[in-house]
Amino acid sequence: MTLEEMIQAIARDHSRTAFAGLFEHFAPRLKSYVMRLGADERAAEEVVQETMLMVWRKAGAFDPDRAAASTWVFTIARNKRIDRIRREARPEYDPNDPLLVGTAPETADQPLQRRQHGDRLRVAIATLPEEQASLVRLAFFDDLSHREIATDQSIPLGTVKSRIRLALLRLRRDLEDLE
Amino acid sequence: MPRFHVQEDLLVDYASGALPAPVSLLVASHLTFCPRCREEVGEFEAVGGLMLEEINPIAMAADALEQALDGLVDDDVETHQGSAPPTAAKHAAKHADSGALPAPLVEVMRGGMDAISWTRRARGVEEANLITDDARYSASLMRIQPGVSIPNHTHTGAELTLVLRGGFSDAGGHYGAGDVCHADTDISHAPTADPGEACLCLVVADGPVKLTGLVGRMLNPFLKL
Repeated sequence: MTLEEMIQAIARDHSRTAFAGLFEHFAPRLKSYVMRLGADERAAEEVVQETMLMVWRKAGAFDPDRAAASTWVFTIARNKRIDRIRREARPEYDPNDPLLVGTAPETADQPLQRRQHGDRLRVAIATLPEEQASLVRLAFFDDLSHREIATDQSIPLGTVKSRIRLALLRLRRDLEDLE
Repeated sequence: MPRFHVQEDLLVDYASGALPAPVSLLVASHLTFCPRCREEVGEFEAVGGLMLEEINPIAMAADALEQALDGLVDDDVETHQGSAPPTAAKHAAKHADSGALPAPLVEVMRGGMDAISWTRRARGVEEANLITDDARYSASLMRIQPGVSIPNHTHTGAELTLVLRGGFSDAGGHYGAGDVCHADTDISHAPTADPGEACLCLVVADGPVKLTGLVGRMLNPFLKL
């Protein structure tokens, strides 16, 4: 069973086996992610528990055509962590907002392309030049905004922007080349 | 679809979770109007997902899984169909008095438009604070009466303006609902609200509102009026 299928099994059958599978896979990674962002071990375990509980509750909202399991779980953990630090919930656009300006309907092969993207993105990230890869990691794993990375690394803000931009452009180009 | 978007670096920081609340509010509100930027955020979030796959795991406490399983309740699993209508209904109710504003903004406003207390900044220009407790940025609503022009001014810090309703024009072009205008210290502009409808904007300024009084108002472009 893939991770995506496990989430769907929770939505469909309330499968505790599937939940345990997801927990075994994601919980230690999430703990590492949250601790890297500065939480102590106890706080990190609590964020992980809250995140996994949301995975259980929101499993029905997961759409494998839109995002990989890891992406979906990442966004839940990111928000849980922020909610914990701030008194307010993290501002998020609401897909059910009547005001939401819609996207054009997808063609039949777009979901498949998106899934294939995931695998290719993995390869692309592994081959990024180190100076770019390390900035992308700082952005995602050290909770640093572009501005803070510039201060932290003593690199001008413009350089940080252009290096991360290069990294992301390169990731995108690699994906397109492979199509 | 909006013509003026949020800068890419802010979309990356939004996806990674590094944006302060006021900026995050503006980005989330723009995303409500902008499928293109939502798509981009989705791509950056996928990078976050991959990073999560590649991080070195740290073992959880021995009883963590057991504890998690104990907390699961069958009825808590929301079905996709089941969760959508209440959310939409909740917003419809909130929108009734807030006149159709993006959900993240409605969330911050709590009491809706009626509970907003406006402060007059200049003739035809009012402002109301939304977020004032961030160390660096402040968020406020600004309402400019139809056709009112704000005299030429520069900014002491960076400022982002998202049009929520109505529109305005400056040398950069015309900004309508969903458009984001970036103003920096070296930009001088004189926006004019469209005739017909009052222009409502979300303004995020680089600078704490805590320093208010006259000094803090330096950060407000209208001080120079």
